Amino acid sequence: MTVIVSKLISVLVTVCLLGAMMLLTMGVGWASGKLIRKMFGLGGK
Amino acid sequence: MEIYLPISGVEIMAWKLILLGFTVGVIGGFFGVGGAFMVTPALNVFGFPMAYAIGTDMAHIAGKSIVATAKHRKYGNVDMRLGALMIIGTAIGIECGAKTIMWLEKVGRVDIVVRYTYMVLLFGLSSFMLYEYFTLTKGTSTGKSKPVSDAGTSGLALKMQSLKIPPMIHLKVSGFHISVWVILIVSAFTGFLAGFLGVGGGFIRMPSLMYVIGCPTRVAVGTDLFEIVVTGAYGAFSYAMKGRVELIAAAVMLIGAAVGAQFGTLATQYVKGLKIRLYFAVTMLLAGVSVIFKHVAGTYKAVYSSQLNAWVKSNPAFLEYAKTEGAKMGSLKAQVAEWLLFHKAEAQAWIAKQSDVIIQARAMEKMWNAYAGYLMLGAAVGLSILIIAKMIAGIKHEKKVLAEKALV
Repeated sequence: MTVIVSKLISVLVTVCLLGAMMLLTMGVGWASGKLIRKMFGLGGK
Repeated sequence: MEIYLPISGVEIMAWKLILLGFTVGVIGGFFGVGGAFMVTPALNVFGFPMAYAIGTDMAHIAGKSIVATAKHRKYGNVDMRLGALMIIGTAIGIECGAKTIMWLEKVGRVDIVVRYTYMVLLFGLSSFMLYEYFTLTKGTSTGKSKPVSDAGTSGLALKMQSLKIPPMIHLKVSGFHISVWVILIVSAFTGFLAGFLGVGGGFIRMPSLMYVIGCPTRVAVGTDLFEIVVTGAYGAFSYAMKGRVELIAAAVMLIGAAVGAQFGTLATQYVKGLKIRLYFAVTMLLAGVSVIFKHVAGTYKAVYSSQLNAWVKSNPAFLEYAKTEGAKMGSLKAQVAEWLLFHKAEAQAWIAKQSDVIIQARAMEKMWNAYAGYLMLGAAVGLSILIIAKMIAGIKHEKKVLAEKALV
């Protein structure tokens, strides 16, 4: 039981850390995308 | 600013990671590849141990691909149906490739077979794409033939699309009907090569999507990135569970990569499909040269590796490790590699006590590995500058055309 719980916790921590990293990337990507479009004067798609 | 990476115990300047992330982000978004062939040797040059460089690179690839895929989807470059089918075939292929590697390990000479296959693939693909580019653009500069923006559907792809083996599927984004079996077999084959070479395989899938399945260049780039999101996420999770991902380094690289991917993706809208193929071919050619450098480094390693392995195997500390923690590892070779990773100083001290031939061989091995890393780093920086410059020129040209139209 303890082995399963500890394994599960390590999986959850890994998924959460990686997920947080992906969210950070998406945030930076979204913000930089907006900025780049503004910089080059591109509108719409 | 220097940052300390607690897992690998390496200190590194943050700007180096951001720059590397940015350049590979531009290249990944533009070509639809993960870029592991550039990041891993470059991280190694920065002092990252190889085992951590691969895991950190995987985490960076997964994040960067999400940003690039989202952007490509917005531009209508992602064929989700095709991508989903490719993932199934790739998974089967990777498993078969990994099994073949295990079999080759038992027979011996696995390194040499993998390296030669890698070289043949890189040089073969790049030569074919360069040949295609120069054939299609021949005479356009002198006005003897019409300029072309993309290569169109290859003869092989037309044959594949004409195979009416049910079930057939209509790929709306790519714009053709094709048998599901063709997609599964092609993706299983590219997956096999990826599993066999131990790489993500974006550089094999992207040309396969164009030349064998028949996707337009931009759709091949977008769809390949969609697949990399899934394979990269799985790879990142798997390496993180083994404690081989430097999360801080990956996060810092991702900041640069997220911005770079925006530039790379936007550039696909302003650079002609045929030009994308040309730059891709040049990248593959440089990657091939870097593999040759690594091969040279490998020949120097062969001078001392058998003696080093014999020393490790007879070391009491290793024997203790093999009985306890090392027992989890699959093979003796993996145990030796893992032990050496955590006992680097002891191994270096052992080398320092050996003959001049071994010390010299170790120095030469390091030097050639550094050449490979610097070549890929230089290529990444040079190519991303070229891609951004072409994108800016394309935007300016488009604005000029629109202004002229408005005047008329």
